[in-house]
Amino acid sequence: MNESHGPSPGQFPNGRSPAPAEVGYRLNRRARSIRPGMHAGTETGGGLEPLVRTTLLDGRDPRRLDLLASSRDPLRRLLVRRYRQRASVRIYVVADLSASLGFRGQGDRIEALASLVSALGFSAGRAGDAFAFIGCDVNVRRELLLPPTRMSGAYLDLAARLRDFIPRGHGSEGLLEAIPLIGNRRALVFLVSDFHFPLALLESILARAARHQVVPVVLEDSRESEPAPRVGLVRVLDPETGEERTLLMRPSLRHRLRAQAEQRKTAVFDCLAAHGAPPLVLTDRFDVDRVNRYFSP
Amino acid sequence: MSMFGITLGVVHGWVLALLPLAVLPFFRPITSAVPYSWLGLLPPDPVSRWTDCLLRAIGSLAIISLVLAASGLHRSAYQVERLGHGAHMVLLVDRSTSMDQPFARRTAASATNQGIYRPKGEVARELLSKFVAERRNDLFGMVAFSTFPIPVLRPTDRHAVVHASIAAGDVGRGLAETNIGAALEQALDYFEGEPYTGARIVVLVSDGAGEISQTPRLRIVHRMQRLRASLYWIYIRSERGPAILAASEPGDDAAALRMTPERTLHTFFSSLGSSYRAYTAENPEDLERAIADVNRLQNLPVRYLETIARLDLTSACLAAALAGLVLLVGAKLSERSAW
Repeated sequence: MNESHGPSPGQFPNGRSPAPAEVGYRLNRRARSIRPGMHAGTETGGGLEPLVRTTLLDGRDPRRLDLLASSRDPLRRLLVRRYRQRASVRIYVVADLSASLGFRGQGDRIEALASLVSALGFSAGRAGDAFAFIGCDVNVRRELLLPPTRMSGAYLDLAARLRDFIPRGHGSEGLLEAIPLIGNRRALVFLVSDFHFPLALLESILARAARHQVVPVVLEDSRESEPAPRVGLVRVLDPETGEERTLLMRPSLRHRLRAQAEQRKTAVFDCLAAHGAPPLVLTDRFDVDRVNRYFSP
Repeated sequence: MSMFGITLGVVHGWVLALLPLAVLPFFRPITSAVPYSWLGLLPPDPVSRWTDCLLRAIGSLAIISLVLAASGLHRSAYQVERLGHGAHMVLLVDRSTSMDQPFARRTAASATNQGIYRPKGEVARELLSKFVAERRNDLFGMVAFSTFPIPVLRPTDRHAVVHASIAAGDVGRGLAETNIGAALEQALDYFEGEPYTGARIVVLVSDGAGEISQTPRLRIVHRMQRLRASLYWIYIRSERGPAILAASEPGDDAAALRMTPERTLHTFFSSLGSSYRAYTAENPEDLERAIADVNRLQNLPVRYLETIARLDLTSACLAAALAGLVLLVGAKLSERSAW
């Protein structure tokens, strides 16, 4: 008898996992934060990463007294070790919520975004990092704004609201406004979008965000450039501009469509690479392994 | 509405107020929209663009066609001025019972070839068709007759009609009597009041088994002279009928003439003088001679108005609309509801 007694282990009845997967994100530079955390930082303090030996007078911490080094010191000074303190960082998810994210192909981009927010929010809480969310379409969506917070579980409400959100914005220009909201302190910025906006806009966003470590999360959909192979008329509607086009779908057009999508992808990736931000590609859904692989050295 | 001399008209003018509906396909296409992320991802495709334009145009034309069909579009009747050359002829065709009787055979050989029985009427129609086909530029009218003359066709240069009228003589059997006098007068009526622009010929196709009494004779002679009309008699000889063209025998007397009305008629027609000619149907050369005789007559160009009948265009509109709608249904069926 193959009877199912309620939901399978590790699953809530609604199909969402009880604890989001943890993402081991990693900074590419030392965090300049005095707040202790999990990342390599620049501040000295309680840590395990030895930085330098200095005299007790400079170090002012007899607990770190290095007896071996002191005994060998020709000047008979008492030397103490100084360590680098692990620092915390602010995690920002800057998400594009324009109407193009509403495209349902193989997967659901908003769902993928919500999963990513859950995973990052959970992981930030575990790492003691502040988590923040800025959603934008033409402007910053105030109702979805989450300022940097260490409040545990703040992401849960946000993810739930994101899942109910229907993107209707007519553009992604709000991303430009979102970058200054991050502040001057270097942060880890996940720029989540389908990147279906002009490359010039992408250039200026990346230029504004040069201060931060930007992780462009490309929400891909495998159906987008691979329509069903049936020959026939299809009228496509651009949800952002309201523009319509009728296509006579046929094999030759499918090939060109695929080529065009490939070309566009290359152009976006080249632009991202030029700004030192290699893309993190999520195809159809949120995949924690891909994220972890992205951060693994 | 008038264009190129052709006048189009509608029965229900108010229906044309619906014509602006034809712009609808340009605002609402037949396909339903499928949301897509970004049109910038789609390569430019002229084929799709033209297909879209074509489908909208077809939809528009279908609506126009339907509105025009509902409004009862037709081409109004109009008159054209035609210029005819050649003689005015009225074919005077005998439809009496005697024409249903067998035709005189010329030789034994032709009898075996043509079968045993050929009605005179059939021979007459054949001859007339040949005659009309030879004379392309002439105007032909037609009168059938038996007891009474039946006006069939005013002189026209539309030979298809003439041929059709000749062929129509095939229907049914002939009527009882033969009244050649009244028929001749009816044929002459066609020339009455018309300008004299060509030779006027009455082509009588008959077996001549009829008589004309004295009063009509005088009237006919008078009118033929006044109208300057000629009479050609294509004589369809009965199987045992007399040969009218044979020289009259000296022994002929009034009693003998009464026995053969054909000869009586021939004698009377001969009194018309040079405006009368007789041909026999069993001689193929006679028909050629008749055609040649007409050729010799002097003809002036004739100008006359002809009325072109009103043409109902509703069916054409409906057909166009149907064709368009079938195409649109096909396009709709080929539509994909998802990306």
